[in-house]
Amino acid sequence: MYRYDEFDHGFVSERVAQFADQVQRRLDGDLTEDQFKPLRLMNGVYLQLHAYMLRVAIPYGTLNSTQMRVLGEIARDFDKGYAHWTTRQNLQYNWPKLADIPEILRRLASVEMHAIQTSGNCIRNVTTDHFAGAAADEIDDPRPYAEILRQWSSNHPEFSFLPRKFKIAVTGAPNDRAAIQLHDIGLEVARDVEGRLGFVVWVGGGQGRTPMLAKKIREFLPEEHLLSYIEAILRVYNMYGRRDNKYKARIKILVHETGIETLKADVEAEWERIRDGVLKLPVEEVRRIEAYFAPPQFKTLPLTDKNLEMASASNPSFARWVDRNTHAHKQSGYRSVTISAKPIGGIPGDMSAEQIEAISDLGRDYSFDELRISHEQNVILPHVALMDLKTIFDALVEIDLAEGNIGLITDIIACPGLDYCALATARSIPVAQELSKKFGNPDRQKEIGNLKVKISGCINACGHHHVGHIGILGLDRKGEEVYQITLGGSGDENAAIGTIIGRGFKGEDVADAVETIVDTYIGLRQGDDEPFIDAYRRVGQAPFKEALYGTV
Amino acid sequence: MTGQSDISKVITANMLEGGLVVYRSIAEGWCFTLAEAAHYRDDHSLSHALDAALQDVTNDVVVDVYALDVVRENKSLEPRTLKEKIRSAGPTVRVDLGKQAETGSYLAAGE
Repeated sequence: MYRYDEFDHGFVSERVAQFADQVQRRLDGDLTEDQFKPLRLMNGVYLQLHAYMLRVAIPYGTLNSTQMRVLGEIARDFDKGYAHWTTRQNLQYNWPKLADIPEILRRLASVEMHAIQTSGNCIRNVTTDHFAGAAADEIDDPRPYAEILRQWSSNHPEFSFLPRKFKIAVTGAPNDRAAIQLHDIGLEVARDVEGRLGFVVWVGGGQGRTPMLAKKIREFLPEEHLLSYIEAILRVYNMYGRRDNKYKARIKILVHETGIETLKADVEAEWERIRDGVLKLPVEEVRRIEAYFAPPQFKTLPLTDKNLEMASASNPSFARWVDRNTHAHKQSGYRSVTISAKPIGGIPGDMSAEQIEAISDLGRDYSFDELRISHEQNVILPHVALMDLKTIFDALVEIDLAEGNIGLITDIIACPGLDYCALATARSIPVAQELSKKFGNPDRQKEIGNLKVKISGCINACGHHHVGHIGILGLDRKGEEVYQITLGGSGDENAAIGTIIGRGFKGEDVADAVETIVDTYIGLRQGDDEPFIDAYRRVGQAPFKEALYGTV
Repeated sequence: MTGQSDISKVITANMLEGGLVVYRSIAEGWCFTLAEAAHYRDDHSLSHALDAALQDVTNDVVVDVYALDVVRENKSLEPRTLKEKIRSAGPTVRVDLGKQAETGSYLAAGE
């Protein structure tokens, strides 16, 4: 994986020193809160319901075991013994003291991590496929491109005060696990007819109060023009994006109001001007960055492992875990393991310091020192030999992280909601917990099959409810928590925004409503292998609406 | 049913250094629990207290000062909104955290 060079070290160390000084000046009274607030936000520090919150960047969701271990140590030493994986492949601490944050940032910097650009109207952490560099279906590893974008966007003077925040996602595989059509810019690694690497470029996707799918702005962008084209898009957005209304300031609104063809003409005109300038990527520089992401020294292993098969045959929990929590690897004899941060009845995305440290060890010992965070709030060991799967499973059983539920109804995305978040209008976590308990039986989950439930505690949609097969949005109606259910959303290559099914439900009624939806689906599906989303697309809302409300 | 006359105001903020939730106390300082908070039943006393509380923003003791509605229930003050109930107690999903962990006065998950 990428290692900091001298410039990166200098940049991050300087920022830590700068922010430490700003914190001290704030505590000493030399800076007012109005002066300090934008400075702390630029360093990932929010003030939430109970305390400050620090959001740590995990560039494109990739980290090594040393970094993971330090994340656990910080949780223990400076927080309340746990941390939260976010839907942006980042990590949040919920209780740090302001005075401690400079020391936390120093510890992060010591392992090449930071919290820069995890807030504010700038280019945020670039996200990507959590199986990048490992997935069998990958055209090319997207992480080098994400790293190039990280370097270009870090402290970019022209794009530090955009009309609104800006999110870029990259997928290297046709099966989109990075939800690129829900980002301000989505990049899909592709090859043209001559076999040259490049990108399909999407623009103007996003969730929040006005969910929109991205529009394709370029069918094929040659690799060397990655930065110049993205810069052209950002320049047009920076010029024309609305600054009069924060709710209309994202590029999706500009695309919607301007029209993709007009916007494309503006972008292409700007790009023509700069395409062959300093931003044109030298091939050797791309290859230099790629070298950081070279595959590890895999062993030559057979496609199957006899001990694995025997263990699966004698241990249903293990067999279920292998079936659900491991993913096809490009290297024979290996799988990518997803560690579910969704134990039955647990808090989605939360892990204790001890769990974080334990999975750090697993990454070090069994995954070539690599770990990943998914936007679905799970942790991935990308490169695991088949022969090691049982050892890892046993270790995960010891730390209560062995749930074999990836992609199933209990693998729920949930934002922190009103239990933590100052913006939230309702709680998300208790709803997720209730659903998890209701559907926690392994046989029941298996019967239901692939089903993505996503819960947000407000219209900002950090819980991605718009793209849940079943999406749940918590609202405040005259002081009561009410939950609106949407159906048919999807964040993959067949992306779709879910449709509201009808009037909302009280918190205590949500799990029953979801059960009604699930039972309706099971009753109408064409065979056990027709997934919920396919069945929904075939039959539409009507049968679900009738089951829920008794009317069509 | 809560009558208008049962509603009063409490002043809240977050401590600058630690970020923790605090309430304006009767002694015109800051306290950590609603039970110790001063409550104001008329605009004049609230306005006077807010002016004094805002001085502590200037003095870099607290941030984000505002007033919230509380009602008297079973001899104790309770915030009217769920958000303020959670602020005053802690996460409903982690009753081992926040003020509730010390006072034992946590909200039931369904509350």
